[in-house]
Amino acid sequence: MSELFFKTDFHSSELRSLVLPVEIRRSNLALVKRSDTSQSVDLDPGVYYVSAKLPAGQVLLDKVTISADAPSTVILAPAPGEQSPSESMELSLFISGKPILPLSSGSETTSTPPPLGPDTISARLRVFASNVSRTITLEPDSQQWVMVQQSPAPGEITFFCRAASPPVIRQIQLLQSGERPVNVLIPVSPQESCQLLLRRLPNLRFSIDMHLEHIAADALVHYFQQGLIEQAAALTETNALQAKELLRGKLEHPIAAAAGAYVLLRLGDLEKLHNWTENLYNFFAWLPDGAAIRGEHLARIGQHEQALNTFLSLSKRGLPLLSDGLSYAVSRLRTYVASGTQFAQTAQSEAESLLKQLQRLAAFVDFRLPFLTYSGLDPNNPDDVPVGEDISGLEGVDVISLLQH
Amino acid sequence: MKNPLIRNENLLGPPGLHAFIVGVSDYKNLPLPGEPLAPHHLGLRKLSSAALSAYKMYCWLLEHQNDLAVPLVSCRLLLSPSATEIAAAPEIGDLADPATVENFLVQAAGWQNDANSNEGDMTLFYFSGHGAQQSRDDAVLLLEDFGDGVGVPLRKAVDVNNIFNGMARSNQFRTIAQKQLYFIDACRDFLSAFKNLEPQKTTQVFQVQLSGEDTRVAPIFYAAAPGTGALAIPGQQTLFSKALIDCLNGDAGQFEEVEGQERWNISVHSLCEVLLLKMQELNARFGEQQEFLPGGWWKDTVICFLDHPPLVKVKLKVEPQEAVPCTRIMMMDLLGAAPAIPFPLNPYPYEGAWPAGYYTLSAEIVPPAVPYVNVAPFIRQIVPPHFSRTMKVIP
Repeated sequence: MSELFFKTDFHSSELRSLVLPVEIRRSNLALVKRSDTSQSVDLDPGVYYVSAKLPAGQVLLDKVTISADAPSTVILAPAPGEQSPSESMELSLFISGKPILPLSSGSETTSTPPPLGPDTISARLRVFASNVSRTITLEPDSQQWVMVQQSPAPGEITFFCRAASPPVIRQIQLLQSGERPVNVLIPVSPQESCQLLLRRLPNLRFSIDMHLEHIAADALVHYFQQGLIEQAAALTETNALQAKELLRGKLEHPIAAAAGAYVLLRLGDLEKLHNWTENLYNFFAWLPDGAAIRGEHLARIGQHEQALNTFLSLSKRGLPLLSDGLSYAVSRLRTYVASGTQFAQTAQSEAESLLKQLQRLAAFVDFRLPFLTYSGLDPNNPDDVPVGEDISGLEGVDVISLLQH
Repeated sequence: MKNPLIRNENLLGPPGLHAFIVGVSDYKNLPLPGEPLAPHHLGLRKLSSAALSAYKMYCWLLEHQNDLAVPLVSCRLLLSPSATEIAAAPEIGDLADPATVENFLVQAAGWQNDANSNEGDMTLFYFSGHGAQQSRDDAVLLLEDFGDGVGVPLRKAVDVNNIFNGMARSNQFRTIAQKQLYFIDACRDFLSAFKNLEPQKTTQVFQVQLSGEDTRVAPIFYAAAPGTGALAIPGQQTLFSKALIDCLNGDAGQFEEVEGQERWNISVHSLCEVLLLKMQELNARFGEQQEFLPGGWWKDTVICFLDHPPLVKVKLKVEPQEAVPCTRIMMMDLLGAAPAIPFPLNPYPYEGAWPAGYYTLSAEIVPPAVPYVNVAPFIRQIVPPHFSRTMKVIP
């Protein structure tokens, strides 16, 4: 047996630090082993083909010959013609995948959008925050919370969303002439920022994608979104996404932990959740997702009364940042409400009231997107009414002017 | 009773598959396209391809019952076909009972009972018709008698949440199948009409018993993402049904060791990955924008096996296209066998179907012509459903 090491070759340190799930196959495609790029594997001498699939779907592939008693290293890099032209474009090229137009149907092609011209649709971006009474109000200075960064590519704008300390749930609202306003919750914590990527599409509208600061959690979310469940499952095995790394270190990553927990729930991997969900729920009382995740976990292990009480804390914590949280809450509350007399009367009536609120919102949510995304000009009262063609009277950052400069 | 219930009594006991398939096109109380709508129709009309799609799923199961991970033990079918569908496939006209709420409840109870034969069983639920997705894990499914204007609007509808939770292990169903596949080929176009409705106004299929630990493999494959409609090739089948059956026929094939044997198979994970790609491909072909959204719980498990390696659709292009006349593309498998690729590529782009495997690709400019350059050999893994490559011969 000889040891095989893995290296990845990207422009950015961010992507180079990403641990990728790898498959090692024989020449007849038979799978020999699954592992990840952070750890070596022992293989018998022979010829192997090593591949790693990126969240956006590209496959990194190399052939390696293992000789007896000599370690080898395989370098996984994008194929000729698939490399990113620049460091700043790697995130959108290799992680984001096909742009998704929020609250619409279908994903979009990545062909170049037409140049800006007189028919360019106006677009504005603004920020809202939830207060203690769970009312969502407009932040007077959006640019304090979302700061524009250098454009990674023509037609793209990246905003840096700063960490929120003390924790406050904020959301961006994208207004585009004649379109439904899109509200997206910003996945940040006191120690985690994120990036917001707007991509202008051939139909002149913008797609929205969020990237978590924690690159492994970000890849995990995007793997799942692209239907690459095998890769998502493999990533949950890596050290970078273990609860002790995410919740107990000097730098806590509750958003990354929540993203990981949602994927484990989707995979039905209850053993791995263990007390992860309890810690997430108890240590981060401000995080709505802690309640949705813990509630769903308790329900899966048959502790329905505790599950209901945990879900009910959403009425104090607010809307989950990830759409899976809303989905689990709505589905479980529907079951509990329908089950009638199995719970205390007060819990039952609270459940009915919370379900009514969440269900009303769910009608306007785009569940394709990992971070909670819904329509409505007034974020407190979601609806599907488009804004008018002239949005110049509405506050917010002029997105088109950022594209031009 | 026309229901073509398949129930292999001799197979009950050991692990087996229990299917329940429902397709509704001919909604008795809804108008045809062009006819006037009443308020209680909620903007909905009869459909053209849902029952035929369900029938195609039923046929696929019967044809492939020997390829399934566990043998087909029972299969229930309810169909409400449209006149167009009956014209296209006369055999469905009198094949199954209509998909009314009453029939649905009866067949669902039988399905649940059969699925309780062995916890190693697998179940498959397929619904095609009008629906309304309420979250990533829940959808309302409208049955044939929906829209009669009597009682609450969803009296003739059922919801996935209730079916999903009713199929959990409980005191009454201690040995219920622990592998359950759900395919919901519906849409949620009309959901905004329900936004202010109280929850739980659908007909309950099962009395859900809140019970102990639930560790099922239970993926839900939703055809249409929230806010979108489930689209169809009229009189043929829905796009989702076409994508699904293509996937099950080999497009979602993977080569893995299963119980000590390397076999081509379709698993829950491979199906999920390729269904997304197939939907994109069909959208492009038919100019539609339908999506697939995974819900439920996604542990991996094998669904069926392939009796031969699938062929991969290969498409090759050259950039710039002006270089096509002088670009010779070569592909070679690891044994040195080379599929015949015409030089120059004609018709262009090249399209072929090759066995899955590793191939070395290269391009040569013949004769050498400035500014074009050769492409050095590189290896690619060619696996289902398709492989597409543009050989860039300009620096």
